[in-house]
Amino acid sequence: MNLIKNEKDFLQLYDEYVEKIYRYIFFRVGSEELARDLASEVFLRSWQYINQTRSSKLGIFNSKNQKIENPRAFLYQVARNLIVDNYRQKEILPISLEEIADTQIADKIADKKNDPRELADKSLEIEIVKNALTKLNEDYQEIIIWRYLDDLEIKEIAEILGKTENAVRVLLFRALADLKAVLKKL
Amino acid sequence: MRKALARPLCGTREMRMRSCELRLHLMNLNKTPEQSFSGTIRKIKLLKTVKPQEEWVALFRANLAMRIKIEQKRELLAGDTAVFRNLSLFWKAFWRPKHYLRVVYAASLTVALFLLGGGVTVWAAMKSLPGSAFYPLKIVLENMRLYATSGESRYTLQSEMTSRRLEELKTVVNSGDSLESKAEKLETVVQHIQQQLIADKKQLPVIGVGETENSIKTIKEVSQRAEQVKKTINEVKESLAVSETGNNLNLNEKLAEVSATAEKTSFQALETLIAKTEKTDVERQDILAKFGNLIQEKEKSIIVIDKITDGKISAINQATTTVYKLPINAVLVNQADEARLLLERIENDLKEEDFVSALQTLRALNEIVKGAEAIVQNSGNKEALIIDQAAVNLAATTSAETLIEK
Repeated sequence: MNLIKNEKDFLQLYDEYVEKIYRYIFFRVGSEELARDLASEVFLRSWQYINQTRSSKLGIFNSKNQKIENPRAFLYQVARNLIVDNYRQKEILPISLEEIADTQIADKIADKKNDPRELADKSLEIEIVKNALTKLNEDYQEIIIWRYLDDLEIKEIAEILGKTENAVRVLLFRALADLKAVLKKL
Repeated sequence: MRKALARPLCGTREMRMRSCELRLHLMNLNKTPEQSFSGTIRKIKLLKTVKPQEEWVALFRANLAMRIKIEQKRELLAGDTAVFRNLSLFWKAFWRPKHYLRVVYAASLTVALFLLGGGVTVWAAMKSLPGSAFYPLKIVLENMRLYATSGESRYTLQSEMTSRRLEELKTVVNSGDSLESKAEKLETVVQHIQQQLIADKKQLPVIGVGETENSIKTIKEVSQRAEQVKKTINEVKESLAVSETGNNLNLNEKLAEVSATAEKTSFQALETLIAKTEKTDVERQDILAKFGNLIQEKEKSIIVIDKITDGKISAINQATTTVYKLPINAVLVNQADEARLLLERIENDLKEEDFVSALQTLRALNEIVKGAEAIVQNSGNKEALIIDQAAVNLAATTSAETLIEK
């Protein structure tokens, strides 16, 4: 992945990842409004951080003089930190399915021109999967979202979590096993 | 070896069970998660359909671009720091404003921008063109004004905004900038046009929800803007086809995307108009006129395809008489024939005022024409698309008029 050399690169990064960052935050916090706020904050803070390090004229380095080689992973790290900060400030637990209106998922499905029956079936299946996902612990939720919704590589997930690749593979396996078990019960 | 594995090291039943689980686990570890949990993964991927609102994505992008530019020009904008503090307060309140405060927020911010020393900045922003540091601010100010406007004024403002973007597009195309700079500026404007079209499409009333005078007016305004955009984009494409800037793949993709969105918006507006249960004579004429415009465009494309399959393309530059020939493509010939048959069908449907069937056939025609254009585009011979445009326009206009008159 190219380093962010200028504002145009950063806006391209925004275009590429805004949906994924929003989706990741949405599944973690469960509120559309909050997801928008936090997603906005992710990009603003990321830009501020990159801009500050750029002004040192040493290139894209963080405070430890290390290059940010993976801006994507960096964005997820920022998002993760903001979610944790948000929970601490508001003392809110990850939202349960009962707090999410049925219309939220249907509204966000991009193509509203589907046959209404198909749309209803799709919405129901999505709702079931989302319900199951929220029953997992946070680590399992994150790894599933990153790997299968945001298409991150194992290496990138390892970088975000600060774990080895093998540890991430084992975690992924356990997360999927857990989710499968939960889906069977639902 | 198998017997040895089958017998656990310890004798208890629990130990034997744990050993079996361990063997199963080790067997599963030899498979990838995708192999072991394919069904579960398929279900997870359904959640990919969850996306943010396009309007929010576009609006925040404009805001982000503006903030980036402003940080670059911090010295110039030092006098406006108080103004931008208000902007962030406004932004935080943006998604939760009380209705009666919307106009107050927008108006007070506009006044603040002028009174707190930002007058020159705002003036410069409103006059700016793509590529200028103030251009993102111009977009944000326009959107804020739109947000605070409703009713008739909103229609007028939206039309003005679209016209402004299209003027900016033409200005950039005709400017003497370097090719790279031109391509970058064009991409910026095209992106904003795309965002406006998406917002327009969302305004179209939902079919069957209830017709009001306002909803008909909205449909017509949206349809008109989409037609305006299509026409200008086609003009720009023709201008760029003769220049090096036209080789910029990213720009061509964005222009194609905007064209496609404008076309979808036109079709959707027409569909919504047709769905209106009671139609006056004037409304029927309106629908026929819109069909006429769409048919005329497809006619032009079919004429181009005919010329290409005949192998007779002349350069638009009259100074040369180079003739370009393409090998006759059997698929193109077939598609052109199919397209003409569909045009006849549309003609019959319009005579019987079966607008729904005519629209369905028109959509099918659109797909065939797009497919044929894609084949020509991918043939790699850009010059083949430079044709005697005046002759094509005349032929298409005559044909479409005849179709409607019948």
